[in-house]
Order: sequence, then structure tokens, then C-alpha cells
Amino acid sequence: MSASGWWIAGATLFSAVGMWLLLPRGSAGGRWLGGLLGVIGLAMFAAQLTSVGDWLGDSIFAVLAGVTVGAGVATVTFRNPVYCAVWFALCLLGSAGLFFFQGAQFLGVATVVVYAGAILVTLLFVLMLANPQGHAPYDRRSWEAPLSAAAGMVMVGILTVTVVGALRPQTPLLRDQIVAVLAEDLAEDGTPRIPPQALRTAELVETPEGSRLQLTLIDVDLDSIDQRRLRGLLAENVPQLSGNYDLAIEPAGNVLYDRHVSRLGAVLFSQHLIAVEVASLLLLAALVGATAIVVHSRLATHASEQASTATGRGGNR
Amino acid sequence: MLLALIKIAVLVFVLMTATAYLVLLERWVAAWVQDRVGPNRVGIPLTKVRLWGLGQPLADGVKMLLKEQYVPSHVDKFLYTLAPISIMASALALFAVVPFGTIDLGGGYILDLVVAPGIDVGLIYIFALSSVGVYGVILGGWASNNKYSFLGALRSSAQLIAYEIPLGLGILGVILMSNSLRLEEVVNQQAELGVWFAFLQPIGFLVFLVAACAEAGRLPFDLPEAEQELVCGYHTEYSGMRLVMYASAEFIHMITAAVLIVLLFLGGWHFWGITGSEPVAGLGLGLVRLLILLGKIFLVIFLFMMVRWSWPRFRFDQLMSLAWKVMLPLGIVNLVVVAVAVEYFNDAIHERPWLASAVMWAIAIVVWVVTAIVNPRRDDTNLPRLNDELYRPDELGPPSGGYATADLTAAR
Repeated sequence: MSASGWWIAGATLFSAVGMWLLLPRGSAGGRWLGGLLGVIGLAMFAAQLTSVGDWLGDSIFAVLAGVTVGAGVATVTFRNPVYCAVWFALCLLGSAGLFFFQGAQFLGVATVVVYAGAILVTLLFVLMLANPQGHAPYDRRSWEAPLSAAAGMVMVGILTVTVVGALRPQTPLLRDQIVAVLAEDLAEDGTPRIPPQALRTAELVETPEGSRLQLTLIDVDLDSIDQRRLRGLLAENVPQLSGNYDLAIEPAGNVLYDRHVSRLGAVLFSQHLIAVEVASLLLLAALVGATAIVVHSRLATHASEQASTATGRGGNR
Repeated sequence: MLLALIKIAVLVFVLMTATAYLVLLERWVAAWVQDRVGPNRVGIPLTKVRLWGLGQPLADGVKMLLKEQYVPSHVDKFLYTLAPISIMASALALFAVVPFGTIDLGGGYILDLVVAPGIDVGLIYIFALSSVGVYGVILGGWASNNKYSFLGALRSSAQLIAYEIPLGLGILGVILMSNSLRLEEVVNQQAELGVWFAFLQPIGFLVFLVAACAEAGRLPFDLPEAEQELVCGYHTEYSGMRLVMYASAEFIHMITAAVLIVLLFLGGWHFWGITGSEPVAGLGLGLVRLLILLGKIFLVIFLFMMVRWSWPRFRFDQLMSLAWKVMLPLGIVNLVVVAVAVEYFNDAIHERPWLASAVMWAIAIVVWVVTAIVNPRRDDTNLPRLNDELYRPDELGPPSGGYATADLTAAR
């Protein structure tokens, strides 16, 4: 195993033990030690992450991510269910902030509307109706604490390995060089033929047939680009691209886009139409099921009322 | 960055001042409706100038600031403090995407009178924050550890969850017709058409008006804090600044409801023959538009205040029936009508908007008549009733099966 592999394994071990000590197991012993171990483990995980950009972006990300992770840990470690729900709400707000930070405005507000605004409020409502004091023992103990701590932290470790692998710096120099070339390449009216800020990613992929440069662009009519000319231009000006290479230009497939709601809608209702329909069908089935249960129990109550009226004096209960 | 901070400062200042003076206005309106004099004494401090009572908000503010913040010993202290903060924060943060117009200051400098311009999901953002505001009520009611607070919180969460659905359906019609989630765009579309969406979607307007009133917890829907039943509802145990935060958050919710009604259905800054219909205005015209917008908001708030002193409170089952059996179906009807209109008659709407709104009103009347005819008969067996056996005023002591009020819980 490589050094970073050992590092992540260590982080997983630390945080799993920390989580286990933190979880409400019926005794409060070792919670401080658990918190310490958990912080060490999370810091080890965090040390693997790369910088996302300037210091401002990094610090905003760090604050949002810290709030989200901290609130998530608090959600599972607090004993009072109402507090757990409140911490979970904070965790959701943190995730919404992370979505906003990435430019995914719709996902951000949808998280808040759906989870914090509807599901969690209903959960709190039920919690208060069923168990107003929040003192029921089954609500204050974590079930299968060692297994859940281990499983959760192993998953975090695997996700970290994947994310760190995906975030490994992919020749940022290449993208900067291409941006410089695009900025110099002016049309007759003095504006760049392809606006440099439209370039999202540039990646040089080695294939059996040779190397291929993959560009993703946003807000640009791809048909209007003279690919042959662009290819020649890049080959002349970017040293890394000398030689024979293929050029592949695609629209950027992310949500960083001014009118991204309409774009998201178009993607949802074309590529993922079946998934959307299946999900809505599922919700409808749940709704019909809930209605059926309510009607059934009401009929039963009505029948028993009738029976009690028939046998003696009923009515006021 | 600096500009945004200035905008936030101005917005918060204006909102808090407006809240203070709207409380005074509410008391004046109440006095006027009830044929009283109302607050007219407090004027300029340390003088004898009364100034029609305009100093009253200042005096109230100072009084509330200096009051003891009594925290009962039986409350959950952390949540008890968190609850008013969360409701106030969400009520204020909501205004980040509310546009008050766009002014061209000359020299190519365009000032957007909105804190966060270019948010593509403005309407859902408002929806999200108004749903976060429920936490303040629920947590406050729970943390107070008091049965009245708790009942108020339960009623409130049920009411807010129920009325969020018609609210969303009302908004959906507007989104369909304006093809955008941006509030600026919604207003611009209405200005361009020259016909406000209240005329084009009468059913949606009605649904949204009622739902917004319910979300703001104004009087026909003020069950969460029904004074005659629950002392004060979810803020029974609060005092001092915490109580002020609850009260002002409530007032800000009313302002929000009025602002949304004006922006979504009453054309925002647009008025025929005065404002024109360009999205961007010069300085003078921009100020005129701002005044028109504020005037409309004021009128809607005044309407809310008059409604408060005109209608009695709903009973809880009436409240729920109104949400689920009246407003929800009407909202869906509106959604279907608007979807059909936008899909098949979009050009016609843009060519002859007034004719289109006449057709929409005709449809609304037809819907109303059809509903009135085919509406299933009310099931009286489920309503609470005072039958002879229970209600025996001439007898001392409780009747054999408990008091009549016990039947309210039995008849579900």
C-alpha cells in the first residue's frame, strides 16, 4: 500500500474508534477521548484534500464543510432526538451552502425545501406528538454502535480515496495555456472567437490511437467553432500538444451556468425522464397508501362507535 | 462586496423601521375599526410635542430592550434561545432576493435594488427560507416546556405545512406563465404584457392570497397563537428582546407576504401610463417605480390589517378543510388551466392580454359555479357538536361524561 493509502487507513481507524466512543452507548465514558480521536481522524482526511483555488474559496469551503461534517457527527451522537433533528437541519444547511458554493443553486435550495423544510419538520412534528419529552430509552441509544461507526468511517475513507484521486491536479498549466491562446485569438470585431471564460476543463488523454485533447465549453455554440483551425492554432502555441493529436469539444456537463434551472430541467426531463417518472410514481403510491390507511382506520373507528352506541350509551368519550 | 453590505444595511434598517411603524399603524387601524382613539400620546421625547403618537414605536422599542429577559427554569435553554434567532434570521434573509427595481444611474452604471442580483432560483429560495422559519416556531414551542406553547407549535407546524402546498401551487402558475424563477423576470414580464398576473390567473391569485395570509399567521389563520385559547401560543414563555424577535419576525412575514403578492400578481413596480415597461429606468423614473411598488405593498398590508379586524378566527378543522379540500384542488385547477393556456395559446396571450384575462376570469367563474354545484355535501357527522346530553347548563358540576369540550377531541 502506498503512503497515502496507509494515511487514509489510519485516518479511517482513528475516526471509526472516535465515532464509536462518541455514539450514545448508554454510558458517557470516553466521549472526550472519542471527540479527540474523531477530530484527529477528520483532520487526517482533510489533509488529503487539495486546494480548490484562492484562499477565500478555500476558507469558505473549509467553514462550510466543517459545519456540515461537525453537524453530521452531532446528529448521530446527541442523545436527545430533538437536538439530533436540529443538528441535522444545520447539516442540511451546510450542504446547501456547499451546493451554492459550487454554483448549483437549484440543488442548494431544493435541499433546504425538501429536507429541512418538509421532511425534517414533519419528523419533528411526529417526534413531539409521539414522545414530547424525548426521554424514551429507545430514542437515546444508538443501535449497533461499533458496526455503524466502522461501516460509516470505512465508507468515508473509500469516498475520500475516490475524491482525492479525481481531484489530483490535471495539468492546470495546460488549461491556462489554452485560455491564453483563446484570449489572443481575436475575430474581426476585436473580440475573442471563443470567449476564454467559456473554457471549463481541458484534459489530455492518452489513447491507443494517440493523444486526444478534451475540452469542455459552456455558453458557446459548438457548431460555430472551426475545429480544424483551433486544432492547428493550439498545436502551434501550446508546447505540450506538439505532434499529432485529436481534438474533442463537448458542452460542459455541469450546472455552472447562468440559466442553469432551465438547463437542469431539460436534462431531467429528457435524459432522466424515466427515473423522474418512476420516482413520482413511487411518491404517488406512498400517498395513496397513506390515504388508504387513514380511511381504513377511520372506518374501523366508526364501526366500533356504532357498536358501542348499539350496546349501551356511547357518544362522549 | 461593499455595495452588497450597504444594500444589506439599508434593507435591514428599512425593514426594522417599517416593522416598528407598521405595529403603530396596526394599532391605529385597530382603534379606528373599534371606534377608539388609539396610541396618540408619545411624541418627541422630553418635550410636550405629541406628533400624533409617532414616537410610540421608539418608546416600545426602548421598553422592550430594557425589560428583563426572564428565562423560566423549566425551559431547554439552548433551543429556547436558538428559536427566536432562527425565525428572525430566516425572515430577514428572505429579502436578499426581493427586487425593488433596476435604476440606470448614467455613465453605464446600473444599480440593481436587490441584495443578491442574478440568483436564478429566487422564488425557490424564498420558499426554502419561509419553510426554515417553521423551526423557530416548533423549537420555541417545544423548548418552552409549556402545554400552551406546545399546542401552539403543533397547530402552527400543521398549518404551515398544509398551506405551503397551495402556496407552491399558486407560485407554479406564475412560474409557468413567466417562464422564469427570477422575481425580476416575473415583474418584467407583467410590465411587458401590461396585464398583471392577478388578472391572468384569478384562481391562482386567490389561492396564493389565502395561502400567504395563512403562512404569515394573520388573523383568520392565527391559531398558533390564539390568545383566547392558548394565552400566547408558542411564545407564551418569552419576554424582552426574545419576544420582540418573535413579534417582529411575524410582522416581517406579513411584509414578505405583501411583497410577494405585489411582485408575483400585482405587477411589481408597473402601473399603466406612469412607469413604462422597460426593465431598466432612469433615476427619476426609477424612484417613481419604487414609490409605486412601496405604495402597492402598503395597500396589501393595509388589506391584511383590515382583514384582521373583520373576520373571526377559523376553527382548526375548518382551517384544514380549507387547505386540503378547497385551496389544494383550486390550485391544481389553476395549474392545469395555466399550463394549457401557456402551451397552446401563448401567442394569443401575448397579442391580446386583456382578452386572455377576460377568458381566464370566465373560466374562474365557471370553476366556481361547477364547484358550488358538484361539491359533496358536508359530512356533518364528523363535526363537533353540543348535544343535549352533554350540554346541561342548569346542572351544577360536570355532566356525567365530562364537559362538552371533551367532545372536540373525540370527534375526529
